[in-house]
Amino acid sequence: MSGQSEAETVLSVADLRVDFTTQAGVVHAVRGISFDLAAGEVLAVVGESGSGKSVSARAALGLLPGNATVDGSILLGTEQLVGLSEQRLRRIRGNDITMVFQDPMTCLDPTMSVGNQIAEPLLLHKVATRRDVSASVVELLTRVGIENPERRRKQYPHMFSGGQRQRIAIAIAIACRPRVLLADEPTTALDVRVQAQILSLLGELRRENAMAMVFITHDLGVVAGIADRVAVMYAGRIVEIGTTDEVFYHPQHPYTWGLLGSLPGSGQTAAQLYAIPGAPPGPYAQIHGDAFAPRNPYAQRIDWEQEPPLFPVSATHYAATWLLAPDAPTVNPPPEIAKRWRKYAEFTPLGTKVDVS
Amino acid sequence: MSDITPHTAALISPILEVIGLEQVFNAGKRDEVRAVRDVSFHIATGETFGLVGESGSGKTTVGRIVAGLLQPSAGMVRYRGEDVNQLVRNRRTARGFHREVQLVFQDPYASLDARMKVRDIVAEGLDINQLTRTRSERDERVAAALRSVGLAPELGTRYPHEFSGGQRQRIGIARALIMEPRFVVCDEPISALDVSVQAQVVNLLVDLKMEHALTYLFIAHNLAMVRHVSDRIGVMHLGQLVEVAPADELYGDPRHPYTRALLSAEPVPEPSVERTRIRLEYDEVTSENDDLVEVSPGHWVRERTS
Repeated sequence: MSGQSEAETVLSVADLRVDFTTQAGVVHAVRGISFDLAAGEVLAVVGESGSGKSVSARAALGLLPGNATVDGSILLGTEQLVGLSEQRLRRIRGNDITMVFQDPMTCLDPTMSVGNQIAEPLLLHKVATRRDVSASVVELLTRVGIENPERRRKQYPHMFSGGQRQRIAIAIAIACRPRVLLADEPTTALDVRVQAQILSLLGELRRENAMAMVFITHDLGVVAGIADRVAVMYAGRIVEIGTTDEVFYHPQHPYTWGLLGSLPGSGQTAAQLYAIPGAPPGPYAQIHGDAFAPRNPYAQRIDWEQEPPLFPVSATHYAATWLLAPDAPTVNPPPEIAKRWRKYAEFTPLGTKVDVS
Repeated sequence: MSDITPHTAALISPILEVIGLEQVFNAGKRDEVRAVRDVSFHIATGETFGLVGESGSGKTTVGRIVAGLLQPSAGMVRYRGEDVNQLVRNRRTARGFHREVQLVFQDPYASLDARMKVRDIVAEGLDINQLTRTRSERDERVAAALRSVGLAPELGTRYPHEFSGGQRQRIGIARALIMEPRFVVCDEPISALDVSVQAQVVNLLVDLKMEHALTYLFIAHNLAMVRHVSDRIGVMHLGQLVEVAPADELYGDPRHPYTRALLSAEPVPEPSVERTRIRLEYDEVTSENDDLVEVSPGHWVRERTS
């Protein structure tokens, strides 16, 4: 499933599975996900806590704890990341593929000046020499919008605001001009105005460097602004994937319907919001059939027996719901979703992509 | 005035009046913070008043003062006509006040005692105030509170860790509800919850308000959700209230440049809108000389007046 067939694929994930062995049993955190990421593309991965979105990203960087088992394939260019030695991973991490986290304090060292922290990957991956590294640091700080970089590079993380710390974490992440940036809820802890600034910074960096991005979030508003494609995860699987327009305006999975429908403001005037009943399955839940079945008002008998495959909706759009099976009954989506479908029919004839350039 | 708008209703029978509230932390020290500066508003009986602002805007501090948990540096909160500061000083009136004014907290993981059974968490207010005479009366009250938030009474024998985030927030709401409050301060009640569960909890809060004739002070940073639940909204910036308006008017016709900047930054789940969105900036600090001016009925904006 490639979103943009012409562009080179920089990251290719195939049937990725991650299990954690704990005293209480085995947690199947990621249960077989596949996607391709093209150069310069932004794929948003949407899901709730426990859906496996962060674990997938950490698996790519070999950042999982010792009780994790990773199966499947993560190709960065031609390099297989699954099962790669720690030594080899260290050469790639921070260089070709990097990560930005929700809380920048988890990756910033409080005892080290921010300048030295930005210099670290530059020196490690031999992008800069000791002599010219401070010039590169100043340039990076300027690029991410930190004022007075000459003075501020000597300061420590606690002397910066939350938004500035995230800018510094981004400076470290992009220092070696990675091909792929994994951003794990990078703006969730920030106020909306700072969030808007960080998002526009990430958008600029991606355009300048043709940097591909996997943007993990639970905020569909953020997704709408930044993503080319969207993958919706539920209980360790991708349940829907497509272009941003396809997922927002022509969604097929009842879980996606629920997520989009439960947001206030998007045309809802009723006192009651559309709410998905129940809660996501816990980590040790035994899943029979489709994991979403217990919360799915459209569940048929087969949902309780068998996990649905990803059915194609278009060349770029897939959804794992039995509603797309050839013999499935026709159902009417919630009114709020039907409205979105009508909008989709207006601006793009079904299945075709309109080139507006 | 023949029409009773939410604003005029607030003037007719306010359950809560906040008058010239000031809160200074670390007064006189180098790190003195004026967390709340000259904040005044009313809340009518049965109304939901939304308070929005970014972190550090002072919204939570206002909530804590309103709930009688913090003594303001200056100004006053009147609850049903009486000074909250006086009410909480007197042991007898404090009981009544803390029973009628309840809080629902943001983080249902941090706000429930992990070593207590759910039924004891829910009954804590009853026990402290010795509000039930018999064991069976207590059990009945707990069961009713759990049922009203959509939890089976049998779950009362379990511990908080056995519940999901949304269920824990329901427990937190049951704990407030069992006191039969009139006024509830909801401080970011859904921001720690999974997206698919937020709508459930908001629907529950809306239902309970109708069933129990509650009045809410709803504090949040999620503007869309605040708009959904609120009759009127106040926008806080750097400790000041910069704009107060009926919910739809605030969104349809924001006047203060800070409100406009805030609304323009809030992402909306519409790619066709987001692609062409223009974000507005606002970096100013409003002057001490600014005052809230009524620009249309019930719509107040902080403007330079002198």
